[in-house]
Amino acid sequence: MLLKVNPNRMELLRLKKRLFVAKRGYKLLKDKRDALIQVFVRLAKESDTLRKELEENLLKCYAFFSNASSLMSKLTLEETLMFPKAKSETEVSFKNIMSVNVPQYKFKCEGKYYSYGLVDTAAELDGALKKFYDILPLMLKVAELDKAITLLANEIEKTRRRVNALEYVIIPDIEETITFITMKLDEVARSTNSAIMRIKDIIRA
Amino acid sequence: MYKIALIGNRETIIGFKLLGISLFPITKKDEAVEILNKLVKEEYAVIFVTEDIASQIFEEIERLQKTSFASITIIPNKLEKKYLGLKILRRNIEKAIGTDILFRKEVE
Repeated sequence: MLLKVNPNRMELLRLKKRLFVAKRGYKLLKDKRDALIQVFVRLAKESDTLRKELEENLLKCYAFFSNASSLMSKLTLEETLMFPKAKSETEVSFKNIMSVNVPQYKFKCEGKYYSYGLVDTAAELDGALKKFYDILPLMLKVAELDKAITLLANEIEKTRRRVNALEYVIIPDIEETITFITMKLDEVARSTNSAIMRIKDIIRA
Repeated sequence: MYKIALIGNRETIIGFKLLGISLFPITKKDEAVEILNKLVKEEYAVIFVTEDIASQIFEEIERLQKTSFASITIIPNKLEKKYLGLKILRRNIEKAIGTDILFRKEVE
């Protein structure tokens, strides 16, 4: 589609500049999209395997814990779990993947999680808690990948739309308009030329 | 430092209590949405949601995962597997690449 501009030399120069910029942006964005997809595929595969692992292990953890809780009376279990001494937190840092800021989590646990008496708790509880403790870093890793994948998917979608817009709309439009203006200017030049020739004939006669 | 939260039914998440993670045992859907919206505004970096709850507030999770700072992750339930986490992963892959590259059979 032709752009709505006046066919003169000013516009022609301006459009040529715009075309140059658009082509360069197109090339850059295409590279960005390819790089993003490359990273994305790697992360997606990693996330897939890790999630599988997490699901298996977490189910095991639940089983361990049910086992432990079945060995204790409900009341003691409640008492045991009432006051946790440990404090689990996470440190967040950001990694820049192709201008997408992806968070990275680091698991930190302060204090001991064995904050209960040894008399009326089952030994299995220790094991179950250890299992829960061990699985947390994996859970955080999966969370990290989940977030990264969502962010990257959005960015890829956005970049792809831009690339397509440049490739199929903006660049062809500008090119078409440039040809139109060139033709128009040539036409004007020809018509002036012929007018001058005619005037010359009239004067000579 | 940021905190970690866990939303789900009581039996599934109670084991994490002694590790000092903020637990939010809930049963109803409305509660879950309310708590989730509250948590993303506070200093929680990671929020885990169990599958049974997550399947009910699926859209809300996807929306918040996109817009908020916190990472909302689905973890399996105690009793049944629904592969909801994988479903989200596949949707994202489809959105980004246009086709599913994982081809795992058990998820339909």
